[in-house]
Amino acid sequence: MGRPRSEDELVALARGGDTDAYAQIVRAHQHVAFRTAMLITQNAADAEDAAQEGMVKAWRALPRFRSGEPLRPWLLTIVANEARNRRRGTGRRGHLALRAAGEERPSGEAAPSPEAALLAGELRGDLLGALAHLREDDRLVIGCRFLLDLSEAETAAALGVRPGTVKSRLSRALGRLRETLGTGGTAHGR
Amino acid sequence: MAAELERALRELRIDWPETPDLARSVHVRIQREPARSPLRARLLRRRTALVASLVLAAGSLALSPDARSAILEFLGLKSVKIERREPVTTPAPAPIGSDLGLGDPSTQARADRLAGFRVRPPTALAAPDAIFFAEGPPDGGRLSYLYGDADGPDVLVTVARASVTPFIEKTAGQGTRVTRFEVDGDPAYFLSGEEHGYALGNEDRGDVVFEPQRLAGTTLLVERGGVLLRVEGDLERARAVEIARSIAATPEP
Repeated sequence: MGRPRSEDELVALARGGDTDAYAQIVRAHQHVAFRTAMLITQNAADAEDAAQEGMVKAWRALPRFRSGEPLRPWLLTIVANEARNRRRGTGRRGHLALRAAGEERPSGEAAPSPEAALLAGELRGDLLGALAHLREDDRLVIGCRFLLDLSEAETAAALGVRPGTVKSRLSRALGRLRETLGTGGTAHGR
Repeated sequence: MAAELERALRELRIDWPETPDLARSVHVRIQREPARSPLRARLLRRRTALVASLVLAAGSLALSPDARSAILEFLGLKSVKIERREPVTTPAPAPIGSDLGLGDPSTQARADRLAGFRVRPPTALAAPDAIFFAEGPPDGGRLSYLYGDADGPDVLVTVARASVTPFIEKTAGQGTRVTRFEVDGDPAYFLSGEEHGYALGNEDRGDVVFEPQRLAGTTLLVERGGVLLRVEGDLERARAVEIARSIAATPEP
């Protein structure tokens, strides 16, 4: 069996019409594409539609993609545009349930005391509650950077803004999140 | 404080919905797109370059008749008449089966929102090549999975919240042979012959519609728990039953 192909090689093949190569590219990015669309649409069905449509549009636009540029921000730009269009189109204002998944510890790590576990659980709950009270712009920039772990460039691509704007918007969003946390999560309505 | 908050955010593990298999659904869709090959791309680039040359040449024509002659000779196009026209957009190819009257092209997610029942594609077949949804009647709409390639559709699976039992014998076309039997205890009908349209719906609600035959071959109808499963194509009965059995469908959304 040959070595796995690099993304640049897959892109070159896909630009030449290789649908299998493009499917491999989609597989590599489908997770982050779907979750980015989910952050924007706040609805799983819309997010799936947007991510799928965005990936098909990216396939059509692939001959115009500049070789050597990072692919992920380019894909996220297209998927996020689709997600925004869909959200505008449906007028849907769903609610992304920001539920924390079960706490997992690396194997071998000692279990925390019941008091520490309770405290950690309460902090997570407070943080999720405060996030839910932020306005949309703030939630999106925090979501992209910290929940999806996107880079500044990728966040800028997903939000359709310049990288410099991400930095300033994130700083303000974190400030408002801190204020909300300090006031019990109810000070800043949407 | 800032660093602690950022760390706490990064450590949040969110209960995201399961990521759908986009690679598969996108792969199915792009295989139906017009072919793109390196040769075609090169030809496209050459054509773009030629168009650019012609645009430049056309720009020169207005300025100098001598230049016009020289440029056209150089291009070997002296007898070509250059006209200015509005660009014509090429329509996107219609999805397979869009002429079968199955409704609008759809996705599983969209159909889940619109249908008055819940269904998943048959696991006995590969991923559908096209999905269509039509609003009612019958009440709850009609969801179709279509399988085929550029040569045309081979198998059609349609699901609706409906029944054929009161109508099938009296509405089936004259050239239709209707075989009544059971699939796992549920009433089933195997239709063959030259034409096998039939009526379906709910007589009490008055939303009875006539369903024409859409593909050449045979049709299997199975009524299971208030949902009508229809498998159409050039299929042996046993294979059609196998496909119907692999469909997960419930009458509630």
